[in-house]
Amino acid sequence: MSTFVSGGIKMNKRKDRIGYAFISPFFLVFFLFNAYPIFFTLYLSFTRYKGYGAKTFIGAENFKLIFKDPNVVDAFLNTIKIWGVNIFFQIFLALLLVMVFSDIKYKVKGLGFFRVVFYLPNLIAAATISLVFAKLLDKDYGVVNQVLFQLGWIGDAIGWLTEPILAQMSVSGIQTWMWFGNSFILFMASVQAVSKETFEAASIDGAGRFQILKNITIPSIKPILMYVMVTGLIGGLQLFDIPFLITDGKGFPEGSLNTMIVYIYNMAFVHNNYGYASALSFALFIVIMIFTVIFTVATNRTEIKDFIKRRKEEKARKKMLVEKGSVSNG
Amino acid sequence: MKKFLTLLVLSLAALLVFTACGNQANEAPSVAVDESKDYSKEKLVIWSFTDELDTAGDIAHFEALYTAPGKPFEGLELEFVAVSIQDGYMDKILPALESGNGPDIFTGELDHIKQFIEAGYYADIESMMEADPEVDLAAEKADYKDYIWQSGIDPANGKLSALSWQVTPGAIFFKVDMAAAVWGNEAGFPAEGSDDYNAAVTNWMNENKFNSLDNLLVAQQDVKAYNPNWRLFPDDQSVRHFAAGTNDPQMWIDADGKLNPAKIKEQIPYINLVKGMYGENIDSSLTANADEWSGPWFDAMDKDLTDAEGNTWQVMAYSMPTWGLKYIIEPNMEKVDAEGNTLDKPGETADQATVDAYAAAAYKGNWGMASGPNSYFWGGTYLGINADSKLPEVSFAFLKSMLFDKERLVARQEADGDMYSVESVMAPAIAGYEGRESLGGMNHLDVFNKEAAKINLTSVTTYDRGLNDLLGVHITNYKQGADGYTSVSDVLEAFYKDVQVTYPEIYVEGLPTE
Repeated sequence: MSTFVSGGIKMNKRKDRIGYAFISPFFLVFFLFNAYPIFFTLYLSFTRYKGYGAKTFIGAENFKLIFKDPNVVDAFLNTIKIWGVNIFFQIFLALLLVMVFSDIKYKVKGLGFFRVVFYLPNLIAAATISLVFAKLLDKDYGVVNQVLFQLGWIGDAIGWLTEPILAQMSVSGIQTWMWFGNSFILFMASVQAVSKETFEAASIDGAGRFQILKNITIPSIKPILMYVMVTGLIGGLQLFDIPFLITDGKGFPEGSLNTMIVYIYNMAFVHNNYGYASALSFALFIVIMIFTVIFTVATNRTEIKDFIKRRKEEKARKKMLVEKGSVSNG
Repeated sequence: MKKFLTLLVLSLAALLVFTACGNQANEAPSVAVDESKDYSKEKLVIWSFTDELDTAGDIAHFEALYTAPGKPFEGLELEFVAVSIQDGYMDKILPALESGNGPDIFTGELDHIKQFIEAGYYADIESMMEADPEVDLAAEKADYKDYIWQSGIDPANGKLSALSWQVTPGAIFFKVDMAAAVWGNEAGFPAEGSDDYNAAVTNWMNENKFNSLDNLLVAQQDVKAYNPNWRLFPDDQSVRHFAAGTNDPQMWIDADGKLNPAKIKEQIPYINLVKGMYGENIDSSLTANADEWSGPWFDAMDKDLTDAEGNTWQVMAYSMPTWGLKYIIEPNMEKVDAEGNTLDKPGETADQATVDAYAAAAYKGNWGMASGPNSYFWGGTYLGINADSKLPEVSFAFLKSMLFDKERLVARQEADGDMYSVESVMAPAIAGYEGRESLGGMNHLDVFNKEAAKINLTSVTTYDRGLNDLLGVHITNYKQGADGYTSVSDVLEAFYKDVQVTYPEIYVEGLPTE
């Protein structure tokens, strides 16, 4: 018996070692390219460092500076504004298209083709997109204003990238165009998992398009909708490429395109203040984490309540069992 | 097992996070061929922010002298990496140098090499020169322009750490025919067809129109008044080189290592100039609103610009340095046929014969080059050796082939027509120069040489680029009338807030606000 048990333990240990061997490459890569940079950034945030030469330890000075720096609040608000408009229209457009392509009455054909077409902007490099849109939206020489003048729709050139609000909306619009296809594909995949009979039954019962959207489509895509919102939030708060490349890389016009990451980038790589940039990065990391938690809790209130209730019941049951055991032992 | 892995991971984390990379002491390494090395197994790595070392044949020249069969470093492999500044040259090279894995030889512009020198990345090449019997240190020092030599010295030890074969002074290149149209009737303006016409017009412009920031503003107003669709400059970035307005500019950082109040005061006339030049659209602006390096900016060199409304505009002048003439403006200058008729530039689909014929055609020669309110420099490539290089003798040999082979430098200068920082190369080149066809026969080398003599490179600090950037953002907000920017005081106060956050080590209270 003991030999059999000992042999069993040896087999389990061998299986463990094999398991660890298989997962170690992932952890090695994760440590080198994720964990180490995070820890090193945290270390730098407590120093004054120009990117070369010595690192001088200055304690929490960089973090204190964050609360005195008015650019931080401006950059954060810019990020929220640009992201907020983008995520709204991105999801709105994706849902609208889902409604169109899941409509059982009209049975729109060519889903495969449109999926590709809608997703294509996501495949184009941000640098290319920025270059193209910078030329298209140029106030004095851009094609968009040219066309609008020729159509007689405007009397004065529109500063798409020179007026602060318009510049932010332009970037939001570009982001929407880049990402709505991605959202559409994800939503559509969820909707297609719902059987056609469900939609047909609802239609036969007299449900309108918006009733079907509200009661069948959206509940079926809720998990993926939450996923898109959370990843959109995380990605949106790290918005960098388009705002950086489409104008002068310093937030022009009037700092409206100065997002958090643009600000951090310039602080590190233009002004060589790696310490403060690292502190800002960590602060952003904390903010994203808080936002993600708040968002997750807000959108899963029922599930969280049920979980808490089950945990309480479980604890109460265990306590009762312990008390019963004490009474019988006593 | 779990505990062991956890301990290993944490130990590795601690080791990596707290590893400091320090540079070895900057001892002067030997420049003699190391007989113990097998150079056929070695590799010399060179990084630069342009591909000039390759395209100008410098690497091939070095290989012919040193790595070809029978030469001192026979069989040595050479790896050349070119990363433009826009592609993040500094972002890539600094971590490489910091980690000890940097190239053997690397270049930089002046503010870059100041950082390299401050960090101790560059070796002491002056001691290497002293140690090499083939190099006469005193003679080389006398042959190089003093301000180029001085700008590459490491203040920590007073030794030369980097040197440039180039000088890159700037000028204002302008269309002489447009200038004649605007100011031709003013007193003293040279008569068309007079001797050395372009040079004569240039001198007149130097003395009357481009010699101060106030006159630059008036000149722009003159051009617009003459023809509402003409502009002197394509954009307001054209005047940023004249922000100091003097050939003896203040340094951004004073002797105490703090932001220099005198430099701030020096910027105020420039801030007012930019504000005066701005207009929401081209009609109300004194420039053509064609951003530097944009398509319209290039187009305006040889053709009319057409804006979104269909209006056409012409631009007279561009601020460009030495390399700008050859690589930026001349490729976009008008050309003429044998009868003097302007030729159309071949389109992208033109056949090779048409392209070749256009390339061989003569320039219209309607451009001049003038000085601005102050001399300026833009760019310039310095060369230095990594203090940690395992091949210092090879690296120094490359430096010798680049910087001290005067025969080679003369041939190189004749090929590219550029400005060099070596007197023995430039003096005969200037004296024997017949004049630049594109500039109507002007001796641009002589003009640039005089401009270069006025440049004060010792005023450059490692903070210059960043501080100019920070101030530039607020000047842009002011010129556009952004909220909170109603006066120069607002610009300066916003600038100081940014300096306080970005460069707290140089910030000081009590800086001027007007």
